[in-house]
Amino acid sequence: MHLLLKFYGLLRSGTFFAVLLLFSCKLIAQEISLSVQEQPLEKVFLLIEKQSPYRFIYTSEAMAPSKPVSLQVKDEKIERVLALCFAGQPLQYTISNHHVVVQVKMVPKKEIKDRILQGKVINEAGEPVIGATVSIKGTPLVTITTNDGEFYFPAAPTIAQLIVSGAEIDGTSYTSRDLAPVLIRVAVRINALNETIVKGYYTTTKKDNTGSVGKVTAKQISTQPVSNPIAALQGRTPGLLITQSNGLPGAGFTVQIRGRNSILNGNNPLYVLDGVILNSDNLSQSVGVNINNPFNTIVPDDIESIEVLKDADATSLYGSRGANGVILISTKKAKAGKGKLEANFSTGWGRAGRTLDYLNTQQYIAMRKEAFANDGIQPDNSNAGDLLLWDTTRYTNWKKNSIGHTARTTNVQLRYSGGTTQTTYAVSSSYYRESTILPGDFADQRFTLLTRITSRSLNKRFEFSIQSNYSDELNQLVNQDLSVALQLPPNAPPVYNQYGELNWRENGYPFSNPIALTRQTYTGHIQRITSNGTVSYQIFPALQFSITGGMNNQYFREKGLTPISSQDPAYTPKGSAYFGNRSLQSWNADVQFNYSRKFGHRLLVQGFLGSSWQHSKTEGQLLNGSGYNDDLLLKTISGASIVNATDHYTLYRYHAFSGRFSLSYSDKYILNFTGRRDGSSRFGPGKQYANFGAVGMAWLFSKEKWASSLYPILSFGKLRLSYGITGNDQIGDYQYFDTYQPTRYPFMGSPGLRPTRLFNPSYGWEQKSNFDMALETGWFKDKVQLSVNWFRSLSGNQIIPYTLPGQTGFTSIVRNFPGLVENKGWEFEAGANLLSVPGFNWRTDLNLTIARNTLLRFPGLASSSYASTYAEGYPLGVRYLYDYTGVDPSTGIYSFTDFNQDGIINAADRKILRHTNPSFYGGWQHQLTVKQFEFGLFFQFVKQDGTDLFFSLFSTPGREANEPLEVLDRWQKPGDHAKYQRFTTGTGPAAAASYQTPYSTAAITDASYIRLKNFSIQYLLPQRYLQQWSLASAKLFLQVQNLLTISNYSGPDPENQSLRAIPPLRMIAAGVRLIF
Amino acid sequence: MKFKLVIFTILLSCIAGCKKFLAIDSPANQVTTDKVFLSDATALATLNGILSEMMNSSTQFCAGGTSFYTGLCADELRYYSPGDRDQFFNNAITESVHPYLETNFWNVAYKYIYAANLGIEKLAASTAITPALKDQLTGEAQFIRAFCYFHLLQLFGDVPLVLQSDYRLNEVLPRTPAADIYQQLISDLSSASALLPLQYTNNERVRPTRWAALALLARVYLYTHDWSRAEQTASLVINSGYHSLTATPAAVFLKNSSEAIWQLPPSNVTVNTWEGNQTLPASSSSTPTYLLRPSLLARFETGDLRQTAWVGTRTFQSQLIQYPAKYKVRGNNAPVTEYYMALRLAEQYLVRAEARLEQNKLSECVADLDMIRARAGLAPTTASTSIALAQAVEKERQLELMAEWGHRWFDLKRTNRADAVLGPLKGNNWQPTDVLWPLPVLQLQVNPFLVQNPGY
Repeated sequence: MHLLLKFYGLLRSGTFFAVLLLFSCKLIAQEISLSVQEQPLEKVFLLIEKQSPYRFIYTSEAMAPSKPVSLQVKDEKIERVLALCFAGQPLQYTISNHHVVVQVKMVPKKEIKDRILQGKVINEAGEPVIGATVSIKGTPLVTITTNDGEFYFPAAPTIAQLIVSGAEIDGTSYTSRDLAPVLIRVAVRINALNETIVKGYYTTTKKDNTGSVGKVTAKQISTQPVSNPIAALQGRTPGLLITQSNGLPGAGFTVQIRGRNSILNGNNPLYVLDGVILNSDNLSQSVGVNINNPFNTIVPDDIESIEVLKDADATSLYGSRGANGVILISTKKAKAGKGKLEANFSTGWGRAGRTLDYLNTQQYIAMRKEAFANDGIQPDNSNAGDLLLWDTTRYTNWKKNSIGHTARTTNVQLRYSGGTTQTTYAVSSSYYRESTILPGDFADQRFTLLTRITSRSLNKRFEFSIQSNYSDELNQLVNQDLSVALQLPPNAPPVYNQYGELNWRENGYPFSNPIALTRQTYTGHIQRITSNGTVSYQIFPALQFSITGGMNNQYFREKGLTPISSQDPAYTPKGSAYFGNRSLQSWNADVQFNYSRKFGHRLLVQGFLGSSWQHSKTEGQLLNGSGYNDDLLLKTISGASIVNATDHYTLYRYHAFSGRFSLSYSDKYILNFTGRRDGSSRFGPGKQYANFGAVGMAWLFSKEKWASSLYPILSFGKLRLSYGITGNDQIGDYQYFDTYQPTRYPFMGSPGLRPTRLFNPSYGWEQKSNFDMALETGWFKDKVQLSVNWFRSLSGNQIIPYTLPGQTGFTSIVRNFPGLVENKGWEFEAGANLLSVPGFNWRTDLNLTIARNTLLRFPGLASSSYASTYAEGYPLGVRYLYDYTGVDPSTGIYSFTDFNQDGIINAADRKILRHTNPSFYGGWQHQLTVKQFEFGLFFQFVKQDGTDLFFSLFSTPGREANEPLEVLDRWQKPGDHAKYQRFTTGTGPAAAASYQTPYSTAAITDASYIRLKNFSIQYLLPQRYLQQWSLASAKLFLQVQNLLTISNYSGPDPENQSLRAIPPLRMIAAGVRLIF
Repeated sequence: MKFKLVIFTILLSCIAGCKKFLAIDSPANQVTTDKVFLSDATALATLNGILSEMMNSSTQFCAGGTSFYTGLCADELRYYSPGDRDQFFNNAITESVHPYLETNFWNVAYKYIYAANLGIEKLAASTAITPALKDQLTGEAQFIRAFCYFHLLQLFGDVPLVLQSDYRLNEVLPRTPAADIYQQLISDLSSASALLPLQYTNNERVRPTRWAALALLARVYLYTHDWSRAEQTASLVINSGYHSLTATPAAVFLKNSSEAIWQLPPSNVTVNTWEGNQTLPASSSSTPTYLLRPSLLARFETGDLRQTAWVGTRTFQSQLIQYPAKYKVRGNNAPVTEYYMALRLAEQYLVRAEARLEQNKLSECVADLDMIRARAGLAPTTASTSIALAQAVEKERQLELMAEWGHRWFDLKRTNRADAVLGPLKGNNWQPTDVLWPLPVLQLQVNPFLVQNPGY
């Protein structure tokens, strides 16, 4: 059986190392007890299958001549039992990888040289498929493939229809003629239960895992035309909620694993790239588009898998750093074998997703006139230039002009890998370019280079691995998202005047020219070097020592330019520019001793002791230059007549000592203990260290005797439980120091200092306890998998930047607080191979998360600064709102319930509590293989409330700003029942009421959606072409992202819910993937 | 066995070494408070810091905010395009602008007060600072504290009187009665006037001197109806010999003008003063932000030089518009020729005129008024009765201190003339309770001991 908990110590390099390092004790003897009388052989096979991991492979033809068996054995080894079973049978068998291949006994002399049929089975990537069953239809001949994927029939018919099958293979049939050697390509599915799971410091399989881990595979990632791997995770695994904030290339995501734990501090998961801790902080210091996400420097195609560690057991090895979950990104491993070249090319197109339609000129003019009439204001040249001075017949579709263009993407990737059993290597390089949907020449470009070498000594006791990942991303964008142009009046002047210069006004009345914004450019340049190395040595067979070091350096430079030419010359403008640079230097190191030993036949004891260090330092400067007299000088700070500089510095250090002790009995009962002592430099003296721990257990009840009668209906069953306590230190650095900092500007040339923090050494770690319980099952030989997971976490000792009254001179101070936040919920996963016949395969996977976040306890809430921010019994994102009672039919103004009946609508009337947390979310995947075609369909769904933009951003229709068509449903005369209030120029009671709607129930609306997140078609080139072009594999693909969104949401996009940011793009990409 | 020993030795050393590993220094770009007050240079920098921050952004109370927003509330300014400022203009302040009041008035004033309090405490405890500098910095801190409280008091009414740095005590302080705050102002300013130097350094009138403390003290006496002390204190300033009225109104607001008692220099030198930056139109074709109300303009007598010097005019789309223009430089990296005037001599004459009037020293009152009128190119006042003179003083203050630091708004309140003047002007919008702004609603939530002003 598999030795499941495999240590490899060198935690850093992810699965890559796992495979090479993990020595797996493949054939640990398995005891079998049988008592049968005159039973058919097949029945006996079934009984053995129920007691052992062995599976029998045979054809019914082969069984025909078998004789009934009588057998009485107790706790015998499999070899002995098999010997007894086959005694006197006209059959022979071979054992390989837990497969017992049964064949009709061959008489040696029958083997005739010229009747040999041999061949090889490979997967889509051209790699050998090991352990597949190959049979010849209509004969009792059956065999399984070797470690090289090869098979061999000593005697075969001239025309043989070969059937390749296996638990992880889509059935394939192939007809061989004249005994010519054959190469059979099959599509390999990964059986979810046998997938390797990386839990950071060790790997296991899903079968034996005691913690809660979600996994997204390379295959799921590679069908998505996205540049940021985080985007590829959306909806793919339960408990993980990802929201895209902007559709511009390089934009970031908010990521949350199992809800908000900390009331006000970081809820960010820990990101680990091949064992190196990655900083997820945005390095940008600009106030512009602020687009740069460190994850955008990772190439999705380089990724082998992404694991999402959710519960205390799974994350315990990262300790407090993983308190909000861990996202482990493992890049592709090299495999021993001859050098293999993979090439990948694709090109794509992107358009803005859901957007709103705005008023045309006629409607706009009518709206403005109505607004003036309503307000009783006479339009004049100063307040109504758009009506009186501008051409009121002109129409410009600003949406089309600003965010209506097509983005183009280009992706090229090359990867070369191979090696010997001792040393493997891989080099991968890629280039990616994505332009924008804005006017102008803007694009995000990325170049990457990844190299890795792994080697081990002949006796396999010493291993080392080193890899390095370089990424260079240059993002050239506008300084401001052009979505701001959407609200320009539709009759605003043309962007260019008759001389072809930028236009600023018509008849003296100005407008903000969106093309001017495209001249204000932003450049963000990230260079990331992530390297890691691991060395391990097996001191004794049971004891291994390892040292791992990882380093992540990120250099970020940015530049925002506001040239004179982008500003209205009437103001005699000067140019301005900012230049920011920020570097992140971090390293982490681990020293570990791993122990693994089997006592007797059943008890496996494993454990480790280790120590981890982490150091991250960020340094940065921001130079603001102004007073440029010439645009030519704009790119240098020396050209500025006034320079203002600020700097940034933080240092964070973390140290932990940890140990793990694990027992596994008969592979049925697994028990894990983890204990650790974590220290963080973010706490003051005496508060730095805290102890945490976790217990995890699993019971594989399908291995119990009573469960074997259910086999193969119930083929797998596991119950697992985990409980743990961990801490959170995501509170920012240096909070306990009382400090002065230089003021932004000196005073009369002399330096100034300002107090920046109050002395406060008294706060300590936030604590989170986490309980997780799951039932995982496999049915019908694992064709159907169902699992259900319940979790509950309680986060206490919350560190709160407690809002201080302004009279203290500060607005907040950090304190520990006995508030308690609960996250609990259900996670469901179901997967099924609905249909699997040769040439056709249909698999579907569904995941669903129903979770709830609740602030259980907040002592003294009513008298605290959070009295109107939080509410006990409600989620953290709760909002206190006015009770919106619609548009008053008599006045035509938004009205609200005056709860305290004091005649004024003010904060005291914000009594209604609503929140926008999703009530459930998930994803539904279909994977269809029809001969050479593969179709993927992925739906993402979220049930949630969101912000109604009409009652927040657009709440004052009638001003000099265009509005969506929907505002036409407005009040016009007493007695009208309308959705929106009367138009106003932005003054008087209507305007006052519109300031309140964003804080009312009107601003909350249903933002649920179902999105066809991904649709992909792949075509696998048939064998005959491949050989012709000496290709191992070739694939053509078409991929569409965000194809369709079904939602009742009133605003543009229910995901980013913003008017000021571009919605997630609808992308389509076509390409080819070749392996030589 | 030997191996185990090695292992545990390594692990133990790991653990032992880690306490040190986590002990990080304070960030390179910050200094801990204790170190700041160990040297003259850094101690001086703390006061520089307050003065620099007071002028580092446009709309806070000491960089134009007070002039503009009280000007809208009173009968001085109107605002060109509709927006949130309407709420001030209409004296109908709602919660939507509370964050603005909080950020630009309440919180910044208390931020400077905290820095002053911390400075006063640390300076008193420090033995490392040169005594003369210690006196100067302590005096400056006391002066700044008084300056901030004076404005908070006028804008919000009773406010919490915070005099030390421990936030645990400060965060629960309730509002202190105005009388006690005035008492503190008198005490701080008296102490500061004793500690601060008489002379300006390098002829730059940018650090508070004894005369700044006395000028503010004279104003405080006036506000507290201590007429004789107001007169005496104003006289000290007027007779100090350090200041004189400029020959023409046009020269008043230039940097280091002879009339300046205390000015705030720009910290961000792309602009001269934020007030000039905000009031002057951006280009020849654009409109100014704030306009002067016709009722104010109508008060100017013919030939008043202040009208030509301090009122900007422009014809825009065939309409004549007039806007405050005491400052002439908008910014855009122009050379610095103007500082932001915080205290000036003309006000001291007006303080003394009023104090003398209240003591029935009518002819001396007239003398002071005529000083101001003469500089404005006007004939001596014709008022002679105390009633007429009271009106003359009010009018002279209205014009001389037009759109300047909230004087008009504060005067209307302290003389109980707000209802009479603003009632007719503002119509139904005016409520007697509008004389005070609301406390920012968040502050009421954060400090449950605070109570809202009536009418909000």
